[in-house]
Amino acid sequence: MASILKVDTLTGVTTAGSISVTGEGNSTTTNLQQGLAKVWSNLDGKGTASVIDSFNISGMTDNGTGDYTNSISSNLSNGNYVITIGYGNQTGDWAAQANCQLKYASTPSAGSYRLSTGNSINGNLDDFDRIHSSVNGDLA
Amino acid sequence: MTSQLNVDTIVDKAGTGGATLTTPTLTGMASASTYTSEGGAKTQNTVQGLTKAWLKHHSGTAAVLDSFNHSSTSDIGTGRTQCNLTNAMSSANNSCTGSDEAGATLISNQVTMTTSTYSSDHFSLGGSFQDASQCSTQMTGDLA
Repeated sequence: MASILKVDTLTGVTTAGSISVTGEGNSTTTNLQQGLAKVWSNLDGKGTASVIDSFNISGMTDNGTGDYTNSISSNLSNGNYVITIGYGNQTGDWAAQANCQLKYASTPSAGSYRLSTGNSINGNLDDFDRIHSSVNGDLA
Repeated sequence: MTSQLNVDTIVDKAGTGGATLTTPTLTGMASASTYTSEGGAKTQNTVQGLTKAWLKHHSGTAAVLDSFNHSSTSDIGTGRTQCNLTNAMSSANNSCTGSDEAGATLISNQVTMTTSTYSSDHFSLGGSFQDASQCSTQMTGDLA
């Protein structure tokens, strides 16, 4: 019989921040907390840059053309987290040389990371309409 | 009434592990359920942290190598794959990140989204659509 578990908060007993779940293949367990994305955001970098939608983001700073800093609400434990970045082309205005990446020579911190967007051919920074990023790592 | 569940391992009802682990279903998590962070200092929304869809595909044939929450794909041109979600998102304002076997030729992967579909598009260094055989996407955001 199927069971439904209704809860508001999940906390480990042995270690508050460590809960195991059985894997899809039924032969291994994996860590629930570490498997969750800790941050995601969808930025509009054109004109007055803005946050379209986000999770665990407290704000975004427009540092100039093609240069943005995402500030994190609940900090990661350090700056060594994984950041994946993508370009969402909502207008169909193809930017074939569009490149979205971590800002050159920037170092993510526990509370923020810096993105840049631009043309991978000529190297110039440029504003894009949808900049996606996601973070995996350990929260503080 | 607020409830809190302290557990180390979530297993099936019989307590034997994952042999028949289609349950439990965790509900009441739609918007407010939280978990304790790895460091123990924070609480964070559980459902919003879940990856809602992921896909590994070949953009030349739209062949799916592996996937989660995708109902189908179709080849809509060189370097372009239409991807259809099983359970739709609440808006088109999600975060969809991806990669391909960039190397020296492919330099960009982009997406154009609706709540239930997106195109995964791949370009060459010269700015033309180009097929890639190892295309990965993942979607985070809120489900409908």
